[in-house]
Amino acid sequence: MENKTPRSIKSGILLYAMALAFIAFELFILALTRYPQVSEEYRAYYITHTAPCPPLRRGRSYKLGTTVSLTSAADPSARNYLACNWSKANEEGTWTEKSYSKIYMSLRPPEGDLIMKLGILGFAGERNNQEIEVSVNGTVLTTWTLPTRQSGEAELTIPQAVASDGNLQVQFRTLHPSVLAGSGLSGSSNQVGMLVKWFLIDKAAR
Amino acid sequence: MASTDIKNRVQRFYFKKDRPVLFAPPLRAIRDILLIQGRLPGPSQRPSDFSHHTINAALIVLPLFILSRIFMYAVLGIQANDFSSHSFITNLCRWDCVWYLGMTGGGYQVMPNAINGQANWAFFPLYPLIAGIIRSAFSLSALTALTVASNAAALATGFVAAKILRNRDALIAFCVLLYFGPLSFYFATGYTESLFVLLTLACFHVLSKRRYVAVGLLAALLSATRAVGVMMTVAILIAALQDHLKEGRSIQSFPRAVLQNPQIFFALATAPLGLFVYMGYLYLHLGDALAFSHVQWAWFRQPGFPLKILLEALSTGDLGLFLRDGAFSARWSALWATLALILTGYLVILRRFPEAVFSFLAIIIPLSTHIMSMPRYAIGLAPLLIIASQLIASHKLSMRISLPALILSNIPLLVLWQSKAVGLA
Repeated sequence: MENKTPRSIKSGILLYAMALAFIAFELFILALTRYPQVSEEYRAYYITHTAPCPPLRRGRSYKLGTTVSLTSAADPSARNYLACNWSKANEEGTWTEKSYSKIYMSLRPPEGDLIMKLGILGFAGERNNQEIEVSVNGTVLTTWTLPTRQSGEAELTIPQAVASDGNLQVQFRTLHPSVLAGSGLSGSSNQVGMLVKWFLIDKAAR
Repeated sequence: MASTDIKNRVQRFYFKKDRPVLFAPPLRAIRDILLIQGRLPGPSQRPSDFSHHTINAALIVLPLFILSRIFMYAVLGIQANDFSSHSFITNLCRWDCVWYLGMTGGGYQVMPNAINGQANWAFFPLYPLIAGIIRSAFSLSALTALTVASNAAALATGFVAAKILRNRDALIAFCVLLYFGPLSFYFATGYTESLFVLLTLACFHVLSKRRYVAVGLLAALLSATRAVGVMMTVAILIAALQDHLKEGRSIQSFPRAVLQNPQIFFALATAPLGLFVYMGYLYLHLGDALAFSHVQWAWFRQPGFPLKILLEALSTGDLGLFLRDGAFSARWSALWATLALILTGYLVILRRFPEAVFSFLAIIIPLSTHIMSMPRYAIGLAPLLIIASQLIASHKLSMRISLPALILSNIPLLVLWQSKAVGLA
């Protein structure tokens, strides 16, 4: 049997004590993994994978009436208004990708309804029309039917009630995401719905 | 060498300690034939006769390291038509390097990227932490600090390798692989690979001497460097099991033997500590201890069957590899993963089980989620770099052919890396 000196016994006890402390810490952390203290948005996107968009912080401040260009020539900080599945900006604008995309911002709490205008180009592959369901802060407001490959302007009236606190999350749900490959258009290798060239939010006319 | 000596050597090496017979005779025969030729490296615990000559090692490691950086500097300088040092380190910093750059300057994010959900929680803290310390200590920019940290680790890796490898040629081959070889730019820029290789080598070096307390502490650092570093725990366990079986004891008595040995017990408890400390930090920072894993979803990583992922990647896409403009090449990644698995199998044949299992797990775990980044994971596996360099050094001819080929192959890769070729990411 191996002879153990008092020193080796002491160091052995120290090693056991440290190892047990580490194991206790590791078990504690393992237990914590079962109880994440996160927002519903975080849980839905990262853990249960039930949400299509990542959690968002408060949006960048926006002054009513400002036109925001989403072309590659525009101020790159314009992308700070975009969330969830957008292509890189190209000369024409920025494509919504996959099924869900968002524009989000914070503004002074509105005193009445707002109107949002967008310069867009719809794309639906072989279909004649692309359909985009638009919701603001979780409330579905309308569904746009956009003729494929045609540029135009879309409008959305946002009732004061859904934007009363000044935080806006405008979600575009593309019903027929389509790939650009072979279409002669470019700017994304993912499925897209519409190209947004610019947008503007202002007070709605009374 | 006389044939009797060779036989004695084989006898001494493989049968002296009554190792359990784990291999089918054909595999053993292949191994012994190669060993008789004197060209096969033995298990890592074999004493090194080269390691005692630190100055000799320095005469190989230092010049090769310096030459390699001059070489990279020249290639990137010619490519960019800009020979400033700023241009050099900026042109090397691609893809994940940008994430480390942000971390070294600003720590961990509270909120993810709004457009794609990606966040720097996926990146383990030790490397950016070291770079941050270097940055503060020497008042450097974040990018310079990252570059210094990587290159210092790469240089140190050469010296640790000198302690492990048995001969001069193998060390030269190792240094060429690490400093000049394909994808060697990962060890020169803001990536965690240098530190990971250094710590992995140090772990296996210390483990070969059965210094369990030291290996536990080093492994804790390894598990704070990359998630798969935690697999060193398994390597330690296997090394202990090998010793246990060598002593003629049964496998059933192994758990008790581990509990009765404070050094091994300490090493096994300490090795995953880096990972758990980071998880604890993530819980405090975000409320989710598994954020490093959950955020992988934003990189399209989700659990799958690794063999299926590998075979699909091998059979899809084209062989244009990374040369296709803007297209991620699954096949390029799959070829590297396959090479890594072949070398891992070779480690098994050599009965270097701790290294083999560590390498296998470090390949299979990321492969079970996506084929992406496999070249980097493969080139960053120290046991595979060691075995590859030993294989190259086993023949003079292979040295003469392989080393120039390795150096030349890195030139187009380096140029593509600079041009942000997606397949190399």
